[in-house]
This record gives sequence, structure tokens and C-alpha cells, in this order.
Amino acid sequence: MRFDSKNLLAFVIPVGLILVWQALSSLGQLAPEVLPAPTAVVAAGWRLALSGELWTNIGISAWRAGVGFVIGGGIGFALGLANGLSKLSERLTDPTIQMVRTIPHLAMIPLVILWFGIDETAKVFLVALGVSFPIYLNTLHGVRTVDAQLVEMGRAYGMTNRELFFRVVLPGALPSIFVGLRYALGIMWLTLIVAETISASSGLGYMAMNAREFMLVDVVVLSILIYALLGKLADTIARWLERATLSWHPAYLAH
Amino acid sequence: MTARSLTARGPAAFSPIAQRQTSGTTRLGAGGKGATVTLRGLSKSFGVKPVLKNVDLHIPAGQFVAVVGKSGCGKSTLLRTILGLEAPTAGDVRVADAAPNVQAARIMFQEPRLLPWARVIDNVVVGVRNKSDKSAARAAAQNALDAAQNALDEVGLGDRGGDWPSALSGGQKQRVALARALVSHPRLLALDEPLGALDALTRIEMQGLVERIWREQGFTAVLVTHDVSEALALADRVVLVEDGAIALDLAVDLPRPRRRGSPELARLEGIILDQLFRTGDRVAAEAPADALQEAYA
Repeated sequence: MRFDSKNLLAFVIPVGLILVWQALSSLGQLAPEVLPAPTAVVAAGWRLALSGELWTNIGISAWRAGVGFVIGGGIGFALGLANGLSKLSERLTDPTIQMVRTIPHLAMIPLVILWFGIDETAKVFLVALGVSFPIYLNTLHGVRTVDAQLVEMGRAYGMTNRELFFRVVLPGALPSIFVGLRYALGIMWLTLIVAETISASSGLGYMAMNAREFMLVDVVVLSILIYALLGKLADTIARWLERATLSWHPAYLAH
Repeated sequence: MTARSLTARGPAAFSPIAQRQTSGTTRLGAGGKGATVTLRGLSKSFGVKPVLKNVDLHIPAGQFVAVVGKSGCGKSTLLRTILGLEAPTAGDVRVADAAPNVQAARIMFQEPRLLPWARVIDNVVVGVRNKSDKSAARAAAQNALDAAQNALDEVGLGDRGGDWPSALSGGQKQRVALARALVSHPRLLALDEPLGALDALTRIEMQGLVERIWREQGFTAVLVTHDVSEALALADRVVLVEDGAIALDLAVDLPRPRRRGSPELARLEGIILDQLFRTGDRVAAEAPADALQEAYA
């Protein structure tokens, strides 16, 4: 990625906000128990990083997010492909999926705690549940809207079903699948943070809630900033993947 | 059976083209390279609506046939049925190849239908028939690339293989589609109004390209078009389809390359347009002028 003045433009507002925040704190306009200064947050981060607590919690949260995402995304992707390609499969499963989809998955938290307690399974389950629907919907939409003329061309040119899938259907559905992927990444963090905040004994959400009990506002703010960074990181990875695989797309040709 | 269909229509002016050999002097090694197409009593209906009614047609190997007709007359369906993209309701289609086992018919559609996610060269590779076993996969892939490069050179786009299709103009995309259709050296090339969406100048250029390659490779060509002058510029024989049946079967026995606007072409065009607009309605008396424009449009 090139770093010219256009890229720097994106940093103007965040950097400006931090400077104002620091200035207000230094001038005593912001009470440290309401919002500690950026320097205090950095100090808290340094402290927790040195003790290793920060890395343990980030690690456990990332693990939960990743495993849940792979399971839920895999299920949503598989169902989306199956229902996009097979009318039979669609008639069988789509109405049920659409019905279950309308339940806010976080409403399942009480039930999930009863089923799995507060251990790893509960969080992974919730993340998987939340992530599967956007991936399912967008994969299905992508497969459905593949250009029928290209499919006909593929058949006329003697492609087998397998070739047709890998050379025509899947690449054609990819832009839509990526929309689902990026949407799902947002839901992944949201679900995890809520689940960890309500019931956990480790992870970033737990770290924030624990800090609140001890009035460690700097740690609470630190946790929130780390969420933001992790979310941004996931989105950047998705964008990068998108660019790498959709380089043929006119929307990405400029890069 | 062409004789039968011709006698049904009567006019003695039209020679029984089926028996006529295509002018061998201009064809380089055309012998046996094309497929013979025979339709017997071919009918096709969509639901209760008949589109093709008992069509008999024989296309000898290596002939360039143009099928013209108004939109909705069934000419595209005829082509798609020959290729097996549609199953006939009755009758049969036989595509007999001089060289058996190489049964290779290719189609060029009205749209280029290139895969936007594949580079130009890979789009041409789609047309390569690879029936190779796993061990030879690597060599086969290289052969396919070489063949695709040759086909691209043939259509004058040899240096664009690494581009995305979206970087090409409409005419260039259609040339890539032509390369994709030709890369497997088909015995039968079906052209479903492939030049219809191009601008007039590009179209003339493409017609020349198609004619040149056909003369070099000697495949059988079936061109569906609504452009009578295009049909006459390219074809050995023009078949006019009206209301699902062959209304006129006209030999175009003129030397190639043909000069546009020659009196002989104009005469043949007059015959075809008369047939197109006389039948059916009486109002058509004043139609030919519009018709001519439409045909050139």
C-alpha cells in the first residue's frame, strides 16, 4: 500500500480526537475516573502487556472468535452453496434457516449458559450462530445471481459440473460472499464481547468487566480500544483477501 | 431432402446447393475438415407454441450457411437445436464428422460471454478440449496455453493474453470469443448473431476475420443473423426462416472476397428482402424501404 497524502487523510480525525482528549485531560477538564488520559491508557496497556495478562486475554478471545467463525462460517457457506445449487436442498432447509435467522442470537445467551455453562463451548456456539447467517444469505445470493449466460457458455463448451462450479459459479459468487464475510466479522466481535462481558472467566470482555469492579477505568478504556483495533484488523484482512481474489473486478482494477 | 424442400418452394432460379461443392480453389486443405449437418423433420415447441415446424436441411461439409429471418422466426432456436443446446420435439439432428471421435461443435454467442475473472488467455483455454489423464496434466496445460496463444494471434490479439476481459473493447471481446470458439479446431462453428452488438465498422472488420479463418480452416459454419447484407457477404448459401419453416434457400455463388455493394449482391438482397416482407401482410407493399434500413441497421 502506498502512503501518500490521500492515505494520511484518514488519520486526521482519529489523531485529532486523541490530541483533544489528551489536552482536556491534561488541563483537568476530564476527571480520570470518567475518562483517563490517553497516556494513562497506554500506561495501563504497558503494565498489562508486561505482566502477560493482556496477551493471554487477547489470545483466548481471538481463539474463541476464530473457532466460532470457522465453524459458523463453514456451516453458513456450505448451506448457502447447497441451497444455491440444489432446489431440493433449498426447499428442505431454507424456510427453517430463515425462521431461525429472525431470532436475535444474543437472546439465546440465558439458554446457552444453561446448556453449556460459562466455558468455551458457550462462546464458540454463540459466535458460530451469529456468523453463520450473514455468510449463508450472501453465499446463497451470490450463487443464485451468477450470470446464467456464462453457465450456458460453460455447458456448451463441455465443462463438467465440477469445472462449472470452480470456474464459473464460485468466482461469480465471490463478490457477494465477501460482503457476507465482512458483515460476519463485525458480528463475530460483537457476539464475543457481549458473551464475554456477561459470563466468562477470561478474555477481553472479562478483563474489562473485572477492571470495572476495581474501578480501573484505564483498563476498561484500553479493552474498548483493543476491540476497535481487532475489528479493524479483521476488516483489513478481509479487504486484502477481497483485493487479492477480485483483482479482475472493475471496482478493484484501479489498485 | 434438400431437394424435397426446394421443390416444395419451387423457384427454379435457386440451384440445389446441397450438392454444390464449395469453391475449392480458395480453400486451403478444406477437404474433410468440416462436419455435415442433416436435419430431418425437425420440430421444436416451447410449451404449446411451435417454434420450428418440420424443418429439413442438409449442410454439406465446409459450407458457410447464413440463416436469416425476422426476430422470433425461430432461427436462433434452429441453431441451438443443431448444437444440442435444445432438444428437438420431433425429428432428428445429425452432425456427422469426417473424422469421428473429434465431434467438436463450437458456438459464438451474441454476447462475448467471457469469464470476467479469467485473463484473456485463460478464457481462450476454456475452449480447449482436454481429455488428458492426470500424469500428462502438466504437458496438457502447456499445450492448451500454446494453442490458446495461437488462437489469439490468429484473431490479432496475441499481445492481450494477460489482460482482464474488462480492459477490452466490445469488438476485442468478441474476437477473444472467436478465438475461444476456434482454439479446438471445431468441425462446426455456430454463430448466433455474434456481430449484432458491434458498431458498423468493427462489424465489417470482424466479418473479414471470420471469413478469412473459415477459408483457412474449412469448418462448416452456420451464421444466424438479421443482417441480410452480412449474410450475403459471408455465406455460400442463405436460408431464410419464416414462421418456423424454411421459406427460401438461396445459393450465393459469388467469388470471394466479395465487394460490398456489387450489383449481384444487391440483386440477391432484393430477392431475400422481397421474400421477407411480401409474405403475410398486404401492407408490406411499401415496406422494403424500411426493411432495407432495418437490415442494414
